[in-house]
Amino acid sequence: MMNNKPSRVYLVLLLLTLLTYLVGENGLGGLWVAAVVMLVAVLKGVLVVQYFMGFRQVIGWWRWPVLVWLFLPTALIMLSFYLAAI
Amino acid sequence: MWFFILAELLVFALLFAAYGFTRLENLMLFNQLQQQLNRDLALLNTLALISASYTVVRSVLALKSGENSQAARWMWLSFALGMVFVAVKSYEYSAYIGQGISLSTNVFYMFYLGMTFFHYMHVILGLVILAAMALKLQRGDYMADECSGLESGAAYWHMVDLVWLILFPLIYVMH
Repeated sequence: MMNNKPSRVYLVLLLLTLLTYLVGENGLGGLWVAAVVMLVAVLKGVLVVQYFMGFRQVIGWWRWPVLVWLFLPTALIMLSFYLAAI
Repeated sequence: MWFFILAELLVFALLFAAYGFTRLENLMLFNQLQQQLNRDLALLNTLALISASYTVVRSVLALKSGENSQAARWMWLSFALGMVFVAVKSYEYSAYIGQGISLSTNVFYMFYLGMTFFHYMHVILGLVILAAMALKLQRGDYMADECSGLESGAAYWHMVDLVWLILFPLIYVMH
């Protein structure tokens, strides 16, 4: 029987991508818009790590490095956008 | 493989941070030139990479269900979707070269072309891995209960996708 979970995750990833694209097409900018766009990117990343890479089923230390990676560039990028905004 | 993937991810994280902090010093230039990028093609490429990641997952699941030929078909489809990305990006690069734009044009293009080309090279390596895995699936070299090689190759492809998921909003959308 076909496992439908990846298909649902795939659909969510497509919808979130279209949302990000529309933000860009409408010229929306500024610190808070950047924060929301980055949050959407992290959410997409978490879905890929958990459901496509299969880390959801991993127990122990190996579960964390790739997930933590997602937050490292995100924090640095948001810090740079915050400094640009103040 | 996982140490290799984590090392690659760390390099990309540093590049993203460097982009963000260089942008601080060149805000007008970055915001102006970002608006001139082709966001439609970037969307097409994002959809192609996400779709390729999904079909790689389908391929691994098909193999685990004992459907080897189905797994090979999903893997070849992933390869085709990855080729869409390479074709679109190659078209973009040739257009930039035609306009005389290069890494040395200014600091924005240095980051834009540098980061996307570095990622593009990873996609090409990923495509070589996908093609090798598709051929091995066709030959029946993977077993449903022993497919760690296939899963490692799939993880590399997902890493390529993961990097683009941050690259796309950072370069094409956020300002």
